[in-house]
Amino acid sequence: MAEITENIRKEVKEIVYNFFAEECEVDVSEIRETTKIIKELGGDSLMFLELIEIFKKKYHLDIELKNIGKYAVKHPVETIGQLIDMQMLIIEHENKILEVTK
Amino acid sequence: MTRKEKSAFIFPAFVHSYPEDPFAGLPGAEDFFTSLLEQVSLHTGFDLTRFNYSFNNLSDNELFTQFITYCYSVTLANILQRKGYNPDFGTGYSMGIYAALVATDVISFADGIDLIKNAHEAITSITGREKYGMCSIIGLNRDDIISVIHTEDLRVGITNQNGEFAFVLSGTKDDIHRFIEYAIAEGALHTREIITSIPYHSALLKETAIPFGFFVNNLVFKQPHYGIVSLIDQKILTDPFQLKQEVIRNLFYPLNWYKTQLKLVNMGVCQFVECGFGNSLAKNSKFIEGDYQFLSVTRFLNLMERG
Repeated sequence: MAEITENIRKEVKEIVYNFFAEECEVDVSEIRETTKIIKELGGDSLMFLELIEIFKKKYHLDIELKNIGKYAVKHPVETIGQLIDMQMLIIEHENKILEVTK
Repeated sequence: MTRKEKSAFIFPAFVHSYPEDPFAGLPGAEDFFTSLLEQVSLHTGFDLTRFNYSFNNLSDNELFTQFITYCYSVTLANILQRKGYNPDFGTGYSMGIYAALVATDVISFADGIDLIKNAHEAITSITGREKYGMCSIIGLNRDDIISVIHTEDLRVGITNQNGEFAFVLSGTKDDIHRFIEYAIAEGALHTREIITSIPYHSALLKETAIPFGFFVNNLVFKQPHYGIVSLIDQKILTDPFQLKQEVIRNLFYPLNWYKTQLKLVNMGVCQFVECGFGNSLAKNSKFIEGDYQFLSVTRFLNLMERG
């Protein structure tokens, strides 16, 4: 489990923005925290899975995908901002994410 | 091809939606595609010439969508062949197998039409009134999925694997719906019911082996120009008899695209050219590590022509 620093938050945001800019072929300046991933960017679940893999490798996370899935059922992600928040929780709590009460 | 890298032409399954302009950057392709639709119409008696990709006007008929995808894939294969590009391997994803066989001259375009039509008839003759379906699921592994199926005693099975955490299942319609509910509760990141009434690649279609097998065995299959990789067991098929068996089994044996792509990567394939509508296989490929790239036919042609 990692302590979330301002640097990590900045890094996560940058990765998420650049990832969707590249995958969805939009300019990074067009992406906001309020941008809707599926409706506005045309993102999909495979992109979401790919992003999780990127963070798993980068931060050496011990997290099972199904725990993320269970968390996402209760806390659906629609926007870039919500996705960043969830990634921060994954980095911070890893497999204990289900114990987080938000 | 004037290059050292190995390549594979991949022929995807049929789709129900089409890109904005599937012929962009492909001079002459639209006319050729239209001529193929005319051939299908003459051969089958179904009027496919009224198909318009902008309106997606025939998407409610599963057989028609198969023919449309088949014609489009054969159009792309024709462009590649005319320009002298032949891959080291080919493979057909799901019902893309028929276009893969035409591309390497194992069968004629007309035989491909008959195969699609006969496969569909063989399937519908045994599925009867029972309702079937398929779904895709992302986020659970094979063991998790099998555990859900067994625990809930569902008449569904894994019929394709696209990645470590990406699968396709076929089964009875009701149990596909139940599976989706249980899979979400189990932690699936994404589930989607596939628009189809047929449980492709499932043992539920095993009885097609006799009528469809009879038809296939009466066709003449030629030696392919390059190896076709089996999605069932990942063997490289170069013999007409093996290819006939593959076409017959393709209806009721589970496939594994993940293992097939891994095999191709391990054999040194660096370029995968997706010969069909969209880029669904390219999307799935991102979870397999290796030094390779997925290309649309347009991009592949651009790369080749730039040398």
